[in-house]
Amino acid sequence: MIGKAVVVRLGRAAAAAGPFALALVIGAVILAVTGYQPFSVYRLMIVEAFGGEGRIAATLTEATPLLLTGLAAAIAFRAGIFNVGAEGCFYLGGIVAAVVGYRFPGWPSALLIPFALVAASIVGGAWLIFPGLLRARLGVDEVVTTLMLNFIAIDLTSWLVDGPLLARGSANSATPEIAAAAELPRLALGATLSLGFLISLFLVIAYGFWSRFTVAGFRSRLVGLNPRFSRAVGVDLPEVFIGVMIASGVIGGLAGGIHTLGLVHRFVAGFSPGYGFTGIAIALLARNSAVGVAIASILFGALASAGANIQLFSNVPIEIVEILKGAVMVFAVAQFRFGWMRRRSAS
Amino acid sequence: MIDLFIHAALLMTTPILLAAVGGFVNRMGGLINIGLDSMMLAGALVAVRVSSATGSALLGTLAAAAIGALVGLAMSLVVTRLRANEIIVGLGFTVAVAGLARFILKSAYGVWAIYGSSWNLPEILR
Repeated sequence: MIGKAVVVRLGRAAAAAGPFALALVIGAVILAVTGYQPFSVYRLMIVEAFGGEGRIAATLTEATPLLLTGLAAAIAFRAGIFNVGAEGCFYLGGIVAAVVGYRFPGWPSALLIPFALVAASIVGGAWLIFPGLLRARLGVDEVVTTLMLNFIAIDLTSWLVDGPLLARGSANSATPEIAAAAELPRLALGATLSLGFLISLFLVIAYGFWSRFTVAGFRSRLVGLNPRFSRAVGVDLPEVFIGVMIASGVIGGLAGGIHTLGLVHRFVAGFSPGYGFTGIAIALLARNSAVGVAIASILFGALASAGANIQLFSNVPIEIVEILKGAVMVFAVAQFRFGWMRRRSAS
Repeated sequence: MIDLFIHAALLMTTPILLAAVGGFVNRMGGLINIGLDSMMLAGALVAVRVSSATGSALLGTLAAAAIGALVGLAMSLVVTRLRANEIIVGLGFTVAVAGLARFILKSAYGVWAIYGSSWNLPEILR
């Protein structure tokens, strides 16, 4: 029995690592064709991501927003809701936290930081009520609504920082810097890693417990696996749909808030380099599991922090990271089940 | 005044209309194609490359159509043969091809912003 469980577990790990490995192969082919040495590039990336304390801190800093956007995607995907709106929530949460952070400079940290983060979460959650309602009541495809709401959120925030919220005397589209009291404390001197990482990690762990040990967690998984059966046994589908949509938005907004208070310390146009979309790839790769989200976030964080450095030191364009990210997304949803595998899973 | 406006509107309509026709073909087949952007980017890059190499706008346009078809084939193979979710595959292609296009610009041409010097399609309205 134990042997079988181990085999199943190993199989799952291999299934999760497979897409990443395939993406690395594609990346290697592209690197080789364009005249780079794939293996030396990959080795340099590993060294730049994990070689030494400072670099590990940089990797974890990059992983912080991804932990939460990955979680935002996972919590919705698990209930069968393809919410791709975390990117928009991230922008809104970021700008709300920035405004709170600079408008109340006299407040102490213990009040200001929670206030800013709660405000960011509420706005993120409120943003996705509408697509949640449309999905639950009218059956409107949530992929299209949440995808389009991203563009509205991104352009709305970029208009705000170009006009009403533009910092006085600032040439680029940015809000004023937040008060020092609103900045999340750093975890180590000299590194950019902030308390935000621990908050994010804690939430991912909490999600793991919620999904495994609570009735609501079980119910949302049931809805994801088989909505018709769930309805037949008395689960209120609209309630679950709207609930996970709001939860997903809250986490997305919080991610943006933490990014503002922990790292950027203001809101700028182009606030997120696609953290919401990377979160989708992470949730898919993790098969919505908490441990998987944590591992995949650190992996993508490593790619991001290494990407910037290899562009500096080896002239390899940073876009290799985007190629790997996109390829992971494609392979993560592909089902590689050929003849012999199908027979085994059927037996 | 109004003719300038109409000219600009037609100009802006062209790419959206073509993309919409592309998406419409997929909808008729019962698929949602979120990855149209990747096909447009691949087409744009190849059109610039081929038209500047051959000096022919027509060849450039044909090559762009061909590479768009190729990206579409790759996408459809993943969706139909590997039974992947078409939405996520479309998003993945958008991310990957956008990255690939910028990667090629940087590594092959050493250009870090815009790659120009294409042969233009003849203008039809002035």
